[in-house]
Amino acid sequence: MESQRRHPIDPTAAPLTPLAELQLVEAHRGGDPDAMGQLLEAYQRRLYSICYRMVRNEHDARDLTQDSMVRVIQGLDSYDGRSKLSTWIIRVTMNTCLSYLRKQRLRRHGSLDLASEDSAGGPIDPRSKGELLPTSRVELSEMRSVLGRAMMRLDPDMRAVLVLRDMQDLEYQSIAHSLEVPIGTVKSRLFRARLALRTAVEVELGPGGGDHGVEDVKANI
Amino acid sequence: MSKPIFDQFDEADLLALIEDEVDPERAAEIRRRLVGDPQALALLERLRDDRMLLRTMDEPQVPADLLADLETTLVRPMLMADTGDWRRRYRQRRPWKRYVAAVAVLTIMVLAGVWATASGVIGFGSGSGSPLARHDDAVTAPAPVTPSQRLAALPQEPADDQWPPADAVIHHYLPVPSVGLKTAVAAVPFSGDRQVSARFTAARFALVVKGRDQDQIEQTLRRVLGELESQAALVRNFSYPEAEQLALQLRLDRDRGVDSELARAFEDFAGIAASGTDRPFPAEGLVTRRKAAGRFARTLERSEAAVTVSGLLIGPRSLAPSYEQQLEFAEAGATWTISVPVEHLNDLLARLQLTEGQTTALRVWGDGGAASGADRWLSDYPRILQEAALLEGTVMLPVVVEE
Repeated sequence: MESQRRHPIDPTAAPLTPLAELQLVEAHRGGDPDAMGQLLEAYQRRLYSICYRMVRNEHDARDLTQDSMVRVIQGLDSYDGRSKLSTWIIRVTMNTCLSYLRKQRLRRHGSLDLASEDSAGGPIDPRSKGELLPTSRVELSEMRSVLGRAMMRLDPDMRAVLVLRDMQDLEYQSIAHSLEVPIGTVKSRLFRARLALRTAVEVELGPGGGDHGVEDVKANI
Repeated sequence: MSKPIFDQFDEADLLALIEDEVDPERAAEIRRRLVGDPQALALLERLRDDRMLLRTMDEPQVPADLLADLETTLVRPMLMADTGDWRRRYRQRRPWKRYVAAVAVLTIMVLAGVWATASGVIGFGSGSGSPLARHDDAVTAPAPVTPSQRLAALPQEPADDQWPPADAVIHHYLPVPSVGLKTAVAAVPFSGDRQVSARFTAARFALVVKGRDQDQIEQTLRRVLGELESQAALVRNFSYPEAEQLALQLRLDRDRGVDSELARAFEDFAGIAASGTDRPFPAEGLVTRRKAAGRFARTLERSEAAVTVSGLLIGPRSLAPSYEQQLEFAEAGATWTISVPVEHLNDLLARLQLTEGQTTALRVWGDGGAASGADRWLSDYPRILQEAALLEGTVMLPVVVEE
């Protein structure tokens, strides 16, 4: 897949200011047929990114982004302004993704127990993994790829909190609003998600990529 | 299974450490306690590395026709008939149902057409009075304004990488009518609405250098600063991704036990390594500092989170710009920040002309005549701005001279 490097400031993106967003919401409610298009245009990159991170599949990400946008269109009239519009839109998108992933999981009847698979890596001497750590740009790229695959091994709820925190750079408060859980839950889930991700990375790296520290921690929490 | 690790730490503390949100003292304390448990320490560092890698993941490319597809296949039908999650339901239908539905729709359309023709509601002529003629009229109507056009028409905030913003008023000051004065001088307002009057000890300005070899430029700047009869500081500002990458590489080196040059050079500001010379660069090294995220807050909803940004400092800490200034420069696109005692500003400016052609900024500067002194240079600033804009180049941005 073609990709571009992430940069905090994407010069090609045209983020709307909160004021402009609210103006567009009001315009939409006032019957302006183009207001919604402008909102979606401004958000499409972000929503697609969230969906792609959650499913790591272009086709599904496309469908989920579009479904999310439809839900935004349908629900915008009920947006009450208590949270930021961006938070509300992300919540809608994340709910769409999580709902989809839960259905997918049910279809598989739990045949793929990622949690148990995660722990299959076994204890490994952390020093031995030093050889696998990335030392060059190429290796960093490969490591990112491993991380991407490892993300898919996580429980969707854990994946969601990592996506919102690390890839969308949201604050705890915004994540809490987006996932509709207390901040304490966000922090706890984030910590466990990081541990689970590390385990999943070691599984991806195969024999020799484990780290018994993770298992110890998981046993402890 | 070995003894659980992390059991003596609060989960919130560990998370804060991973997230770079714990104060340095607390971080040092946790690390000290972890020293006795190398496994836990290694795990902690790996969790931090994972986080940094996640934050620098490639951004997926958005399908070009995402919105167009949405509009044609989803929104229009949805607006015409609010059928809820119709697409998914449509997909979940069995194929024979689709055929039945299609036949039913076709039958209705044929029957409706027959009825309309028979009753004269629709004629087949193309005269001006016919419905088809009215449709033709509609084709000549002005094209609707696209969302992109409307978006472009909205008043936009200046982009972060556009500096200085075209309509911005830059508040800076002509600090010294005569640069040679070392004692208190009355500042002359050059632009803005205030005056500064103080004893100035250092002049600092940011230098934006684009499209050239950074190492070569660094060597040039070091040479020029080295020729001054005074101490000077040069800070190379790293971009945020650069800093992240650098910090990650450093941690990986340390994790691997590699005594790399990077690891030796990367020190906290307070512990910056001595360079072995007193003048003009008594110390140099990579500095890491923290600050509340400014520009990220505007784009990524982080209002209070701290980010770590690094820069290469060459020179005494006392002359370096404040971290806030450095970040301000970096965020404005400045690649270098130079600090010199104000009494040597003239000399520096004159010497920098020797580097004409090395940088866009300096070429613009030199082409318009020699800037023999800070006063002349500053009075010439509007022209420099203008010429830089014409060349799509960059400018030297003077900032407040500190007491």
